[in-house]
Amino acid sequence: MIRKQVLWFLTVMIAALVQTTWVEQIRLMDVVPDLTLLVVVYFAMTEGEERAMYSGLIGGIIQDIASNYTLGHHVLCYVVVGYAAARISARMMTEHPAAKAILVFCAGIAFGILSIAVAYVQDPSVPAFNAIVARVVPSTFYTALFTPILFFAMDRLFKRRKQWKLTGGLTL
Amino acid sequence: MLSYRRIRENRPTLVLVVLVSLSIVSLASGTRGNVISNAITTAGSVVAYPFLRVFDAIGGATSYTVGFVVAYDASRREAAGLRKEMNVLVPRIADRDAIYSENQRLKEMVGFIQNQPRLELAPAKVVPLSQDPISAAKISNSAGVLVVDRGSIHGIEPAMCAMTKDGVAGIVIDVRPTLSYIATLHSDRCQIGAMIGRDKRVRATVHGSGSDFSHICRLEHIDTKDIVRVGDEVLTAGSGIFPSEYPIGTIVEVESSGSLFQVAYMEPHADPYSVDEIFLVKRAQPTLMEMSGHDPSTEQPVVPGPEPLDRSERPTRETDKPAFALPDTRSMQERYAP
Repeated sequence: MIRKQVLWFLTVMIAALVQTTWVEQIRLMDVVPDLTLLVVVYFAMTEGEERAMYSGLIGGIIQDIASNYTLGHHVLCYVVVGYAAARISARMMTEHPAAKAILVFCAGIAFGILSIAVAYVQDPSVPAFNAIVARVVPSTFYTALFTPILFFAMDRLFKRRKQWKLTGGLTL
Repeated sequence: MLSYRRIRENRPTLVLVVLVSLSIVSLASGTRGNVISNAITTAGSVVAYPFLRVFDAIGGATSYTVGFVVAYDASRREAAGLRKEMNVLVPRIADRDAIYSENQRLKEMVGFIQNQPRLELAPAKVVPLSQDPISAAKISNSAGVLVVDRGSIHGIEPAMCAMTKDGVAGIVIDVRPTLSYIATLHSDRCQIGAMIGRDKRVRATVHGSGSDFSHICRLEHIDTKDIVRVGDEVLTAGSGIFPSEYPIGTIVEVESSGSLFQVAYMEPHADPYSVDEIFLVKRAQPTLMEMSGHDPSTEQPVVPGPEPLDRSERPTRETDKPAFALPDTRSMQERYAP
């Protein structure tokens, strides 16, 4: 159980740190994928609201510190999106990758709108609508493209460990 | 008990409310100057620091590894670019060298012309025989013939001397309106009157080698009594429009056959096949020796003898005239008095 918690913590930390460091290497048309959001949605789908919100809390704090935002900006957005994603995914009838990607896309749009809304409250001069159209939608689409890859890797990382636990370390 | 159950059932919502509330409070209070925010930031930085160090190390190693491929690729591209640049520059360098050598040659030509005040020279460009196909067929079987781009309309005449800066190269044998044919020292049609520089009384005739592969010319009609040595300089004897006392070559072999004349072999100074331009001597002013008919080099050693008689004491004879015309030093009265 503790190993699972540690693995979860490391996964969230690494995702957030990669988001603030290396993800710039795959910048495309001025947008980057949001790996923290993907991790939050993944845990929302697999572990429920609480784990998703804690993931959002850790990832949000790291991103707020790294990007010099007001503390709470990313935290608020990730927590809300994680909670909502968990509630919606609990009602999903399918585990088709496309459904997961659509959920990630919707979560990304919600995250972007929330983030811009918070920024707009702090600074009304922010061009909110333009930012949503020009940045949030492409970025979310780019993030959704990574859904199958990252979810597959996370499945391998967590579910295989469960199999090892169940089978005494033997692969089925 | 009931409230504990309700809290447990609604724990996610409670967590959401707490986290959202804290976030809103943090956002409302702002980051700067907030003790709690600063503490969270510091704690987050401390926790993230080892990860960032690991990230840096991995990033450095990755950059180092990728650098091999990228640097190789960059070097390969740079080499390809340099190769292209070199392909452009090599012909330019060759052109520059050619221009430089041409400049040097033209400078030497100008210097040669300036150093020959006695000669009226017409520079002519050597053209390939193929540019005059009609005459080429007739003359091409004769080795050692050059064609130059100056002809009768430029004042060129047969028997003019063709020379380079090194010395005499041949003689004009045929003249067309715009072309002239020169029998060089490689041609058997080339015959030039010559004399030995050491003793200008020794006369000979230079015959061209008659071969493109041999440049050694033959000197004929040398009197057996004349002394010709290996290393003697051969000069032009000069006749008509042919200039005198210009170097032709150097004696390399003397052959005494015991007949009336002896034969010598000469290596010419000029190589007519290595020049692009050649000078044609249109006119040559005679030397002092030619004007006076008196060659100081051929003077006999002065032997002290009796004092010459006073002209007034000598009996005047019709035949008693100087060997060459001397300036008239008589006064006007003496010259024109009845």
